[in-house]
Amino acid sequence: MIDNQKIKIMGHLVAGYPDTAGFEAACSAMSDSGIAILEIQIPFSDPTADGPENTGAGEAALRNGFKVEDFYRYLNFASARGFDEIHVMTYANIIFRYGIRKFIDDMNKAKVTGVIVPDLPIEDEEGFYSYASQDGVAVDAVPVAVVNMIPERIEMLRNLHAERCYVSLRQGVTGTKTVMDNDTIQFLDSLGVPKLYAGFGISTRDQVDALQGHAYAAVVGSHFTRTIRNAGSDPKIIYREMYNNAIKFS
Amino acid sequence: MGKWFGAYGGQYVGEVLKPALAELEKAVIEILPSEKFRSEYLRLLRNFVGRPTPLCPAENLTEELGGASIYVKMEGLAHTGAHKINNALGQVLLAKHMGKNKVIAETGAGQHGVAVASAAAKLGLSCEIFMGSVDVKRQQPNVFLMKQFGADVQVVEDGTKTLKDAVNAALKDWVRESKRTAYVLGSALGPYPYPDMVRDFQRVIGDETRSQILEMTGRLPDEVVACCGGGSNAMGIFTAFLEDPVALTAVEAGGFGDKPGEHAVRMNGGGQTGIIEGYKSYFLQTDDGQVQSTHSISAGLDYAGIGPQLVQLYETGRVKFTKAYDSEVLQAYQEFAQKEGIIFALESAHAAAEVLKKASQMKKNSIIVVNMSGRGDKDLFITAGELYTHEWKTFLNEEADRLKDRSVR
Ligand SMILES: Cc1ncc(COP(=O)(O)O)c(C=O)c1O
Repeated sequence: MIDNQKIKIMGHLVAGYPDTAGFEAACSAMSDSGIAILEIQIPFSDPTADGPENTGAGEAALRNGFKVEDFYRYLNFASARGFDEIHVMTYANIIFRYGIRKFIDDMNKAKVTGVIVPDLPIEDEEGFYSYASQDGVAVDAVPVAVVNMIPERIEMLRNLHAERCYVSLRQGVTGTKTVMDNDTIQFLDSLGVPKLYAGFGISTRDQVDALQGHAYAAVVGSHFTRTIRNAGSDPKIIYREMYNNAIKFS
Repeated sequence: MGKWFGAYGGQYVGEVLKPALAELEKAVIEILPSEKFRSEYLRLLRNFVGRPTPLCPAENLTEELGGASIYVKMEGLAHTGAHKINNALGQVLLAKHMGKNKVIAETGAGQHGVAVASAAAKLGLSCEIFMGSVDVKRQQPNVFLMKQFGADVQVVEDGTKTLKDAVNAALKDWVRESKRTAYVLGSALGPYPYPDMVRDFQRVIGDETRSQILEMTGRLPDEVVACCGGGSNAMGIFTAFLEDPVALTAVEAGGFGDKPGEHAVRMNGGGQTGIIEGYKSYFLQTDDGQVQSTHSISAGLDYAGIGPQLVQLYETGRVKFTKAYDSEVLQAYQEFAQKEGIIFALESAHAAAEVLKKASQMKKNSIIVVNMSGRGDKDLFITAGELYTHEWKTFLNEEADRLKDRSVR
């Protein structure tokens, strides 16, 4: 279903982590090393779909005083780095408080490609998927699929006719190691969504290669957050470590 | 059974949790009403939990205050010391009927954790309790009890390291292990079907109270009062009276002040609508949607969210919400101890404080029922620390000295 185009990498960063300068260093290193797509998370106090690494990063950002209104500073910085696409990931309550339509409108204005909100299921969407699918709204509300979804829910997803879908490769939360078995590959091929962003637990180029031809992009999240954490607080070192790590994927 | 309570409730969870919740919903519909389940549950409520719990007339306070007749529903006499066991036992038994061999649960103060650990020991399931590290430090006696029941206590270091973080950690664990594990949620909140299921396991409190008061006085009470954390004891005692001309009052934790972070009052403007931990309800939160920290002298009311059905009942006006400050709670705790010989749990003492404020303003011959959701033994380290500071400190120091020579086992 996916053409032979080389699979892209979507790198994940948490806004405000480790701080503004550190985020900017990591973000620049990603674009300089050829990472095509950036996913930025707006931190939330109760991140039910994140593993320990990103949970810790979000907490650190909030402890440092991150406010949702600060997000634009990070988004604008990233937008100037020339990524092919930028996606924004956060949790339902953040955009619910912001106003879901207003959030989509503002992301649309900021030329964001997609918004991913894992705890807004298709049937309790609060207008998220339906508003984003209206004419004149370029930004996509990107639904989340999971390998082993029950058939009725796969059907529900197909009925959205989404252009893009985030697929979590294992039944779990981000950041625990994933193996690509045949079931996973078959699931990806059967979804019928043009652009799949497949992630959760990817930390090696081999895992990315296993997705070639089955997904549009491979998501590398916790792995990069760990890189930042291990690099410490000096932006120069964060840049160097992130660059050396990210280049292995591109 | 309903997923929605007006605009509140729902099942706002990631796709990864959907299969486990679908399996639970099926079990709630098919297993709970079955004769096999009902008869075993009722037998355990009688022989293990000690139901029915008494409805005790508080004659001395009634006379002293000179208004309404006060009755205390003695839920604290239930096994493990609180109403929590009604729900814990029900869900652990359901897990067993679903063929699970393990239960997991979150706990804040540890009351729910103790109840789940006890029920799991009784029914032969293994048990893992998630508890924030801050709570573990504050609640060692309950940690000890859970371990005596054979439970593993997982210390959660995420976020504020308290109840909400324990919920998140338990949910994440459930995602990994839902084939053999059931998640036993401790209050009438969370994603569907939990608010419904928990209320249905707790409604026995109100069902008993209703028939007890009718038998004792020949009439319904004028008012029923319960404390309100997540809302399980409140929904438990209110449900039987929803269609009756009985005033229903829920009491939230006023903490030590009205500023954000000093209390856990979600109603009357304290909280705003949000979508957190799988359900839509009122939450104490910042303007930009981060969960706000809370405070209460009672660990069990110290929570930012509240059950969705209670929000609906608040908005329709069927349930009135009020609050009690920490200081009022300690006073009510002492009043009931000295005048009635009953030690309320600090959570339940919030409801007691409301009754003390209100009873004298009510007509003679009217009836007010207070739900003593728990007994106060568990709060010894808080109450004695507050009310008996010097002696308690000396005691703890001497105990610590005595243990110094004891080799660690
Ligand atoms: C004795 C007692 N009452 C009340 C509560 C509050 O919970 P809920 O509002 O669900 O009854 C707790 C919670 O731990 C409790 O232990």
